[in-house]
Amino acid sequence: MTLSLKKMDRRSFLISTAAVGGGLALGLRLPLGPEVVRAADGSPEVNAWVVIRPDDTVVVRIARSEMGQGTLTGLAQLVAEELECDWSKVTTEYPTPGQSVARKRVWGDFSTGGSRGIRESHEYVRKGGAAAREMLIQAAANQWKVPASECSAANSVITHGPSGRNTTYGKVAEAAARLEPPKDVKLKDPRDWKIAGKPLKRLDTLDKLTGKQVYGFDLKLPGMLNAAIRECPVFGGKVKSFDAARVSGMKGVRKVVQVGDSAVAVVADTWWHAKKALDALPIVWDEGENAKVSSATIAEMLKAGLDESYDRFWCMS
Amino acid sequence: MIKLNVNGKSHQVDVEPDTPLLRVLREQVGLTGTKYGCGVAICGACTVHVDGAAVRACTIPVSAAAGKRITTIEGLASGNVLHKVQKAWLDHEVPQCGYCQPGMIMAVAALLREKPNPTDADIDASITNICRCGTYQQVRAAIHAAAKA
Repeated sequence: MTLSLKKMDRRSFLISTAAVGGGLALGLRLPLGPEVVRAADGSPEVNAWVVIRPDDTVVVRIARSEMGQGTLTGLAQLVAEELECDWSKVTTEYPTPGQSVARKRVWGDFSTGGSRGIRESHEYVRKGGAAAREMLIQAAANQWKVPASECSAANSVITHGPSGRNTTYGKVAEAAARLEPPKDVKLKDPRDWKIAGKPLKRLDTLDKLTGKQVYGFDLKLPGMLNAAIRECPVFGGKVKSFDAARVSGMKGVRKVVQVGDSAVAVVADTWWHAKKALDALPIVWDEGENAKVSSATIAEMLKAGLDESYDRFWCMS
Repeated sequence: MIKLNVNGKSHQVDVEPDTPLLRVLREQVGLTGTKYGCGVAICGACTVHVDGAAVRACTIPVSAAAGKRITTIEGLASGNVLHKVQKAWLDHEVPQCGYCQPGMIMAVAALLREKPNPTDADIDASITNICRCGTYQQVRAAIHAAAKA
């Protein structure tokens, strides 16, 4: 398989020239080569799944949410297996849903649930790792002016067999990022796996022991307000009325709002201010037809069910 | 203004004295490692140390912690050296989702200071923190390992 330098199309030409507009005006030479997509720290993306830093750190992009099920580590293992990188240098990052939309869902499905993360994305994330590996090898081969077929990669090191020369992923990542990705890649036989499917230590443990792990609840956005909400205590019931004036003067309170038919929320500067005001807010509920439901009436209903004829059970089974 | 000493650093916070310590740690001091779970001192996700004792920060008013030595999960390690409880937790890979673990770890660190070699019965009696992932067996194994460390 061969990889060629990306041809400069009109679009990337425009982007490159826009970036060096000053240079053009002075009549300097245009730097050729397409733009490289970069991670926030400036490191090149070899492809959407793999960012490699100059120090050989491999950042694997994870498109599913880690919730304790281990998917973050499992998905990284799949990419790393095909990438042939040094597992001790692997770290991860989540693209945002906004980036996913902006990049035409390059990471595929973003939803997490039903044990689908590994089951449904293992093939394309492995292909992402394999494509990146081929591009890194090709970049090294181009630098040495040898055929890529004479080069191999293991543990983030690329070796040219005949001459014994070697280099690392971090050194060729920039050049690899400028290559056209391979159209198709061959995946390893799972019997040869060294990283994927092995019981390795999880990558997310340390942050969870030191308070560094950020949960949704920990996010603080500029100017963010907090709300505390109360739902009708009876299922199916509704809000009849509430006396917002009684709490609107309390410290930090911004607004009292009804939410749908059945809930009321206080919006305040902090959650504690919102909660205190909500606790003090007089709300009158219309509890509806379930108002009279109690443990006794439920027990009665279940008991009546026991007395029903067996025929229904036979029909159901 | 209330003066707090958190993880060896002094903070002046402008809050009402009845504000729970947890809210102040998370919102004013900006340390979000300590978690909110039940809000009524049952689950233990908000456990911190106040003058060395494990305290459920969601219910104690900030005024009760003023001037005392407060330690949160962010201040448990000494620089880059993990506390022996964190180290045991890492070795045993205790966390799953991890949400309850800062509180769990703080509770265990306080227990081991009082009882360096706790029995299973001691653990059952003192570590009442709730973990919805159900990591209790790993927690128990890691406590015994930390005790031996």
